[in-house]
Amino acid sequence: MFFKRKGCYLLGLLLLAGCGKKELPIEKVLALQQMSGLATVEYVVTKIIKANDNEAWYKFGDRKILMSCKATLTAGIDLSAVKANQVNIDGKAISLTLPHSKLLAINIKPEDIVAEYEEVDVLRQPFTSEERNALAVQAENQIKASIGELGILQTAETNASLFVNNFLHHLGYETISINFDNLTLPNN
Amino acid sequence: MRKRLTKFVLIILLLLAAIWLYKHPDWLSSFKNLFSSKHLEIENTAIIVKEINALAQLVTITSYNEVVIEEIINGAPIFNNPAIPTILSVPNLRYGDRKLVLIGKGRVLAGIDLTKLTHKEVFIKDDSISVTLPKAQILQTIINPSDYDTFEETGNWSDEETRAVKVKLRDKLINTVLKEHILEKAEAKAKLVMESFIGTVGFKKVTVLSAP
Repeated sequence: MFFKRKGCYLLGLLLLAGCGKKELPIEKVLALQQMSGLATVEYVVTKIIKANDNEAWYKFGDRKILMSCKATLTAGIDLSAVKANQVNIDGKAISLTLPHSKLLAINIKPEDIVAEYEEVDVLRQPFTSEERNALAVQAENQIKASIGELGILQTAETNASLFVNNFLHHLGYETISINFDNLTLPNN
Repeated sequence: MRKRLTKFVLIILLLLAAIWLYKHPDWLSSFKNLFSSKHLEIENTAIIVKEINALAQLVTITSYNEVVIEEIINGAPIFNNPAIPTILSVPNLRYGDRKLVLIGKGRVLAGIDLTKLTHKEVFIKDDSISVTLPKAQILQTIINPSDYDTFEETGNWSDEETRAVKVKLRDKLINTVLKEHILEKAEAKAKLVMESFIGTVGFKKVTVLSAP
């Protein structure tokens, strides 16, 4: 009798635990970072995401997706890296060495990933939002891997040089020479 | 006698099979892989540069945050006409609710747009300079696909619906960082960076102000 009652309690507890709502994860403020990046160029790139889920022998029917993806890459220089010993002033002439450019951000906005075409046969499951996102993650990685080939860092340095040159010209300098370690872009 | 012999042969065969499996453990795993679902991979398509834009943005603050969004869409009624359940004397049944809970780890970049800085905002006299910087703004809000985590997904969520939830998540992230006074902090840091840079290029007295 005692075990019967205890068993009922246990069963009740288990049922209650099973009915419990999944608690939402807690939001966190991770960090606030100070920086001094001068963004000088943005590249807008596009990519088609193609995936075909017909590889396994036991899957019957088509399941494919075609998505378009647009990413914005931003590059620039760290302005705080310009130190006094990298600047030479002689009257109205100035020469300074700027740090090399770096990628500041890759931004793939949610509205820039669009599923253009989906074909899912009756016997197959439709693509979930998680699966679509996983495909977009692969596209993001492929874009990240191709940064070197896009020439964004070189353009960022050219633009940084132009911006600093104009700025120094506003400040009254007439002869301006800007260097990036080995690369020199003299301006008058 | 024959029965015993068969038993003996079977035991020997079983033993041999066990030894063979012990020596070739990969064979078992490859059999398991026969039905395992393969990771869906995308094709390596070309990346096309659509636009190249020149910028002059001074990014002074990056705020990293984690935001959660929960979206529930109530299930539609099974009968299109609300009179049908009454006529048929059946309950007004509905499709199940759909729920999507996303966690997004994003970052917000704030700073000033230096293209708005014109010669009117720069005042020079001998080795003194006064610069009035434009107001700080949010320059970018970044939550890339790899920054999302699907905590819960029930029912079918179309691409458009998912996108709308992600946009809401991004808006929530912006509101969160604005409450942290990110713009004020970005403005203060921008003043420091500009003061330091202008001081480095030869000016003795530097005054950097923020636009009212």
